[in-house]
Amino acid sequence: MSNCGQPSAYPPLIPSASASSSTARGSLRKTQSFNKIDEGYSGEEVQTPGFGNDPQSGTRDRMSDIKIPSWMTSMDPGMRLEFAYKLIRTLPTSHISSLVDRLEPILHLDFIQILPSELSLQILSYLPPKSLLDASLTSRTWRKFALEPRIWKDLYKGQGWAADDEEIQKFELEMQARAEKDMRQQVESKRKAEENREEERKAKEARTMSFATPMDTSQDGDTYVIDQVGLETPYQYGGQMNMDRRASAAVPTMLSDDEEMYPTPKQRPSTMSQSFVDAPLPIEPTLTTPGYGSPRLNWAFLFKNRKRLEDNWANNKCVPFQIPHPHYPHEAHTECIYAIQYSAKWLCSGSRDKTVRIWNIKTRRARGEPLQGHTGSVLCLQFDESPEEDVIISGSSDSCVIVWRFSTGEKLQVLQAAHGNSVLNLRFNKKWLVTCSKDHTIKVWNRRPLHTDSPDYPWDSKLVFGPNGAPTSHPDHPLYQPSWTIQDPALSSGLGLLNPFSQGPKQVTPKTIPAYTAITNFEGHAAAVNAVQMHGNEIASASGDRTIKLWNMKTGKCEKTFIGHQKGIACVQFDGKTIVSGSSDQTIRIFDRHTQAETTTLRGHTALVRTIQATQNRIVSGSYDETVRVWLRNPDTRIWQCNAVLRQSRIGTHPPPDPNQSHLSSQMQHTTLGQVQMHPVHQVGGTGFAGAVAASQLLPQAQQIQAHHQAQVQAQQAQLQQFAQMQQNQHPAVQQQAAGALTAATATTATGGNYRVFKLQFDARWIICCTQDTKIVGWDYAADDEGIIEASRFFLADP
Amino acid sequence: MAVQIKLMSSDQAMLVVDKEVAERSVLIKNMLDDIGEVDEAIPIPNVNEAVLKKVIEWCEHHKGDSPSTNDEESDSRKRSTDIEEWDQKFMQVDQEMLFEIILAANYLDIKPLLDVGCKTVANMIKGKSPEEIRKTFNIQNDFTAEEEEQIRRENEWAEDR
Repeated sequence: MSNCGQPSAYPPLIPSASASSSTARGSLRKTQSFNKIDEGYSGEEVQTPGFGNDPQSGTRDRMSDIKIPSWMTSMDPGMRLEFAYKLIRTLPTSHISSLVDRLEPILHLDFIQILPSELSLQILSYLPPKSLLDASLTSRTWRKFALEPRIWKDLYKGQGWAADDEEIQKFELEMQARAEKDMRQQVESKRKAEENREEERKAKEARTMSFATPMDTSQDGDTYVIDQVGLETPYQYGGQMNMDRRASAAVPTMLSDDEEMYPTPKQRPSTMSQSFVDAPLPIEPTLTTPGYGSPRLNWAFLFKNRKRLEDNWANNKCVPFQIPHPHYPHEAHTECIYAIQYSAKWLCSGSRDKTVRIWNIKTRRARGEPLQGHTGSVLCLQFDESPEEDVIISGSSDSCVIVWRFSTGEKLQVLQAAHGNSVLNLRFNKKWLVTCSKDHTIKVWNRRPLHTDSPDYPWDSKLVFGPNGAPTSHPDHPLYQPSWTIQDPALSSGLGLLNPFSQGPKQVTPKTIPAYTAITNFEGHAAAVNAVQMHGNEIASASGDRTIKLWNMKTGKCEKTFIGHQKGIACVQFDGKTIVSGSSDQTIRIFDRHTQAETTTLRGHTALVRTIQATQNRIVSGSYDETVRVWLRNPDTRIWQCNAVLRQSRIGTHPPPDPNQSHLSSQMQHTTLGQVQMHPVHQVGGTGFAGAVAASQLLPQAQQIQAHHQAQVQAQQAQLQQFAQMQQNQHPAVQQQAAGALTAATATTATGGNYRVFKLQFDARWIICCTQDTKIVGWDYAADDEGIIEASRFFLADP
Repeated sequence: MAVQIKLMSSDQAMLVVDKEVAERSVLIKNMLDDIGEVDEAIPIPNVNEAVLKKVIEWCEHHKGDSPSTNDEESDSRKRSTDIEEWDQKFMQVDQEMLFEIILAANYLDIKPLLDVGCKTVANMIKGKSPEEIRKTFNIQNDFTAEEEEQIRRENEWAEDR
């Protein structure tokens, strides 16, 4: 590399006379350093007659003094070829053989030395990861090209892996800002140094005064910044180079990444190439990689660690953890936890202890005091910490919904008697809040005041305007027709909005509807609505009546009803195309939204499937059988398979004294049994059958199955027991939520029933769930690997 | 008879081609659009006769191709290194010619030809061991034995399990 990065390494190697007579080739050779190529290949000193005036090779070999007579070079190529052949044939065979060895490399060209860098990168961009890594082993220059972040970004996206573009942008802007700051400081220090020199000239007699050295005059934080980011030399030369270009004290503009990272050899400024040569070659890719102006996010690093993270999921390599941190047990909820949601930084939980708590995911500590306001169990919640939203909304068995300010925990609004019974689930987006209840209904609420000129203004809302909707006489009404004669009495009556729940005829003047007004009420389910999910203008709802319904928020109509589950449905996920649901019939079913066909049934849980999250190739489900199951879909066969069974009970209820000892991944029971059955059942292949047999041989599994059978027999008895408990209970609604709202009686497991899973969430890195326990539990698939942990801030779960 | 134009290679060779064929090159097409009908030969100063002939041969064969539907190819197409049979044969040339074609396709802005060229080179890397790649492209190994071993270990994460 040392002699090819220099522009001087690309002299015209072919005498101009022969170049002009050579009709066909030669332009590439002009740019190639043949002396370098022969170096080390044959191990002997080189003489390249055709390229004899290469100054470097010429001086070190007396043989290269041999000149080709001009009459020879003036022959046309065909004749020269024939002449050369005949000349060679006069040599002994061993000489011919060594000549072939010497000629061979001429036919093999290192294209990275020849082609403009963007073309070399395009070539490499067609390679799979393994080939790129093999290529990266060939030489230093090749390693720099083969690990170019842009190539690995394409590979990352090509895998279907999602990345947090917002976080990435933030990070890159930070990098750039640091680089600019650093550059300014360097410029400033150089300017000061020049000033100092100027002053020195002006005041030679003051030489005894102790001037600060140029470096000392640079502001504090200069070296700090570099140290902190772990920046390497390229970062500094980037600044240096720009500084040299500086004409005035103005800060040079940054070069964007997309400008040539690797300029073509002849265009490459010598400082740049020299710096690239000198840049230390990290063996392991790091989070950032040298850039032209500022360090860049290294996608090779992200790819590598995402791959390793995915491998951990496949191999079920994970480390359990709990919230609160085992050192702070007093921060925990005092009763079981029904609802959780987490973001990159925060986790919110809602408990039977009537509180909502906010946790710092990194420290696993509570943030502030518990949020108090509900008079019953907190059954569901959702939060959005973004400054624009800054909100938590929680629903409770007290039939109320509370809107909290996330940042302060302040209660913003209480929707008293939001439903006629427990609020079992809620979801919100920027515009709407959807709640569902044990009262069999689903309600849609506006999250912001709606003015009559809003396109979302609910002119047809029966809840707001009564059975006939809003009077069309309002000028903003879509059906408004100007009329000069008829005066609608309602317009001048001055009546405000009536309570939507009040009886009697309503004729309400359309005016601004305050935030969190019930706009729509979906009625149609014949039992408690246990879960809702919003997607665009559609709502999917899962009910104890064994159906999933799809509702159109615009029309207020039920569009589709999905039938398949044999018992009440506890949870649902809808992404616009696919519906995934978990039921008291112990199955997970996947439905196609358009055909309404049930495409897959996942069997394995031995009790009610209470919570579920699904992506294209991964489903995680939590059940009253006290397990969390991870289902992976084989990307080739597209068949789902249960890849792991996780149990909170296996983590140990007694916290270890040291959090570092909690890495009891070996305690995690996992199995790769074929517990998946495709639908219909007769499609199950040999694996399914073998899996069933194997499962019965697995002791805990067998116990569970047996326990389940017993439980089914004793179902009535169990219900009676629950009923008795309910009577004694101070919060009967909670018990109803567990036993009643989920309709079909769920068999109590014979194993104690302490870890029924209520709610889970997963992303690229971890699964977090809450159970009957007072602690939140999670499994971290980064498994304490520093690289994965560092990279995973940029990872998102697959869509 | 099809409209013909003249091209002048870097080594002053004159080539006569159908306008339609020449316009596979976006560079030439834009030039013709700008200057209109000309009798004089269009100079192609970066491409010599042998390479230009080869490029024209490719353009002749592909003159009927429908223009690529979208600039941003779908990932699957971009990743694939599949090359149609005629192009594979066409690209069976020595490395110097291959890289000259790539350079010419880049200069003349003939994207499909550039893609085929780059894929051809990629296929020469695919599936080869580092040592084989070095041989194929005459790459000087400037790693120390220890460095090479370290990198080999570092690369293990991508090994097929």
